[in-house]
Amino acid sequence: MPEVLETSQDSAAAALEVRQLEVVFATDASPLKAADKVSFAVPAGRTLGLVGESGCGKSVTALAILGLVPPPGLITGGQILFNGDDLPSLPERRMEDIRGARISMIFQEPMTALNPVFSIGSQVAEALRIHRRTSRPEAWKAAVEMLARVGIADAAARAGDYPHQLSGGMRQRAMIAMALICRPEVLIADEPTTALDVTTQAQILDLMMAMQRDLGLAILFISHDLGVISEIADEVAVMYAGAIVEQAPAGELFERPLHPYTRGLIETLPGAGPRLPRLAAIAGQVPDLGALPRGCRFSDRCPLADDECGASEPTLAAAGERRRVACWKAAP
Amino acid sequence: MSDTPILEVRDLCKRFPVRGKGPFAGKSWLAAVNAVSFRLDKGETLALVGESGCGKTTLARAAAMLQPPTSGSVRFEGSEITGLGNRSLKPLRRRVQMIFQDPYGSLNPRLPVGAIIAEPLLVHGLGDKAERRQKAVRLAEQVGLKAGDMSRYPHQFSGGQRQRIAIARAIALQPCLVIADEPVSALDVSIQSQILNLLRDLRDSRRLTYLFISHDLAVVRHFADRVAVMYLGRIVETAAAETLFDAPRHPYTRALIAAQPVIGRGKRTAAGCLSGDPPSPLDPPSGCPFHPRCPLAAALCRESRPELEGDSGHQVACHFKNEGGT
Amino acid sequence: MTGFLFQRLIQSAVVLAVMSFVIYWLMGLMPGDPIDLMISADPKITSEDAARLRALYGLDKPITERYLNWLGAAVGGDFGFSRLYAKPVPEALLPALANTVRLLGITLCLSLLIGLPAGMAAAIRPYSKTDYTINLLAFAGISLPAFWLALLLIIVFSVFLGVLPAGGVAALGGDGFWDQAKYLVLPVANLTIASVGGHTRYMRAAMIEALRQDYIRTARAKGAGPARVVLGHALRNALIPVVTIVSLDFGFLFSGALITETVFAYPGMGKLIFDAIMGNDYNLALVALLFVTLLILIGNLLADLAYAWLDPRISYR
Repeated sequence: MPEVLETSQDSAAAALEVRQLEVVFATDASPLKAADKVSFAVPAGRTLGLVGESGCGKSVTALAILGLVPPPGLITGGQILFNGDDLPSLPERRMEDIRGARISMIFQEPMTALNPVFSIGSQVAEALRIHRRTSRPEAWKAAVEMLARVGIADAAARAGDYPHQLSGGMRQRAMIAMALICRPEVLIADEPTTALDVTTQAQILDLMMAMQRDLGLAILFISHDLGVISEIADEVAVMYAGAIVEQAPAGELFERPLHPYTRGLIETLPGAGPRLPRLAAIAGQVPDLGALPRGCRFSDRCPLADDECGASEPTLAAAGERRRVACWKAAP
Repeated sequence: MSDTPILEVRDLCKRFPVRGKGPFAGKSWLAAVNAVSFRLDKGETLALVGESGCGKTTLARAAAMLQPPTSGSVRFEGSEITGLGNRSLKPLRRRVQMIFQDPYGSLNPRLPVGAIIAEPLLVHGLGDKAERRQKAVRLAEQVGLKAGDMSRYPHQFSGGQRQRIAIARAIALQPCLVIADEPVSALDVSIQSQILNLLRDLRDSRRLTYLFISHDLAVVRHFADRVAVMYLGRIVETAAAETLFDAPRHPYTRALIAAQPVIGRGKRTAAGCLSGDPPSPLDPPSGCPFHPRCPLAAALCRESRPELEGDSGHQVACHFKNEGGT
Repeated sequence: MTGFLFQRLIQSAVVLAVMSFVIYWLMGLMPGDPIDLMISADPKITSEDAARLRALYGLDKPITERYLNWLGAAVGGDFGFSRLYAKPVPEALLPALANTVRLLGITLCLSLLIGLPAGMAAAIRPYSKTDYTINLLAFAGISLPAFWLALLLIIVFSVFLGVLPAGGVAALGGDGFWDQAKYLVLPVANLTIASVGGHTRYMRAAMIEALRQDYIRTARAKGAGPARVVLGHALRNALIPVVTIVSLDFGFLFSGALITETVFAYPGMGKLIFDAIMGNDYNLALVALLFVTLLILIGNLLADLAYAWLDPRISYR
């Protein structure tokens, strides 16, 4: 497998590596590129934060990893390397063995993401029974243990509860139990705390970090919330209109953003500093994938844009030791 | 503070009937808002913050007489408005407007934007058709829409643009009080600040008073003059925004602020994180409603409920409000 | 749950009582009464005789009083006498009821056994060839008028092929299984073709909706294969709306049965009610209509119970 041998030293320990991924949605008008040459690696025991606004392609990227892009979306290029395999080229049956067992996913809205007609215990146990030869009572016992482990008090009794009987935080804990009961290597979390209150969000973030320590999980954490990303991610990739525009270790990214979009996002947030009469703002609207500007995809909203930016698109290039940025104007 | 406040709410309660178990069980009551008092002066922005289900939206709706309160008094520009019929409330409806979290849900999908913005004028019989159209264009331009947008429909706009439409409609009748219920929560980060700036500009240019509901403390800290923190239907702390964020005194306020993710603080360390969920308002705890989750709770807290006390600048409902602590 | 059942039983009793009055009153509004029929049959009856007979049968009293008299007797177990069949009402009614229950029961089972899997198959790949084929057949079934289809079936299977009887039922105490069954084949086929299309369409719509939900994505993300996703996760959710519609359909099936029973000369409830009303047989028509009401009430109750079993969010306290 030559692909595995030629990986860079950074991704040598990567549990999951995405290379030049392209996902296209065939529409009546023109095909929309929801993910355009997306590349990143998530090492075991670390968290990569994927941050961006609605429609930037972060969720599509996550679903592509599991082979769950909804039609009419298709993976049209690139590789997703996991354990020596290129996932998009695996047959569906082998993907089923990987989903939920070795790569798991949790979602934004645990109320709708859990099946309303089954108890949470049986939904957690099902994840185990799909992948391991387990008897029903054994799987139930393991599910109760897992529910207790993710902090559900009186798990033996709560396991019989249905999703609507639990609070939002408890439901998300049940989702996490379901995702982790088979001890996967990779966890993909798509806005897992967005629907929750702040105090519950803090509890769930703490739980995810604790589970990561215990299981050595590689986490791909997707969020629109820079604050959450800053508190949980080791490394951050910023997506805009289908492409990663900047990637850096979390500390460096927030301290010294290189891409004007990243800088704009950070500056627009009402922060902890002195109260200003007005907030900084990024002009214009989040772009429509069908109508991207020529050249750099951020050029129509960028304060630094000039003719060069409108003429050709910058590629994601190294900017310092562990940083990459796609901008003609980024100071090196 | 000699001026009459725009809005003065005293001991407002809002209860909802809940059907009990069993076919013959009687009704029980859910106290969504419990004996809440506050005042809102002209040009001021008061933020109601708290977690979902704390009663902040119900309080705002009851104060605006959209859902009449169960008991208590609401004075609008000095005159009592509780107990008034719909006809007597019509002038009030004109002067109090609302902006909601999901602008799409509140915009009629079959009307063009121009008609949506002009509709309040039509309802209140202001101006003739040409005047109304002219006014709608002026309003649209004020909120950053183009005159050419007037004939387009809501679904042709992005979330941020739709919120601008909703704001234009809200200010069409020149209200003095605007109730903004999570106006930026559904918007993208880069659009949030545009809308917050717009709301602030309108406040300055039109001397608007805002009752601003949000769960996002960073937004509240930026936008509000005063903040009231709600928990289980009651205000547990209220103070000027800067005081509240710099020196919070209620343990719940402190926990909320600590739980708020902050950029560039580095990876989180699990400390001071509030455990459990808020209790059900159907079965509130004895004594202080916060005691089951409170790090400072003592026997006293289980037995008696602390009143909201303090000078008019900073009021706290906690038995241990004078003890610093973490 | 017992509380709920108790409540529903009381409700059903009230509905039956109200219905009995409404039906009694409507039939009182119909022109003519049994005595008129007697007069037309026997020209020797004078108007004095008629008045005497009316007084004897209590037909000269106000309708409310007549209704209360009937109700009192009915509660005591006396449902009166069917003039048309010259038997007590229950004896006239029960064979017809048995025939109809057999016809509708078999039809409903068949229709669901064909319709639900077909709807599911169509929903799994919407807008595929399978889906188009199933939809086409379903619409054909919905669109064919029941009486026309019944005539067509009779012409093909009874007249041309001569393999099945055109109508009626087996003689009483009749012979082997096939002797009984062959009289059912055409009516059942007719009613099934009329109702299976609807059931297929309902199931398809409910299944497509269920397969679109977030929890389906969750199930796939935990490695569930297609069979488990469809049968394990989507089916139970899809059945919740289908149960409602099927139970509401129960009444529709009954009215469809009236046409089918008439065309095939099948002695079921539909035909019985039709004959009873045309023959001014008050007692029989009244009790037969109440039985139909009762069957529909039972259908709704079963649907409510099925809900509670399917959907844990619904709890009858």
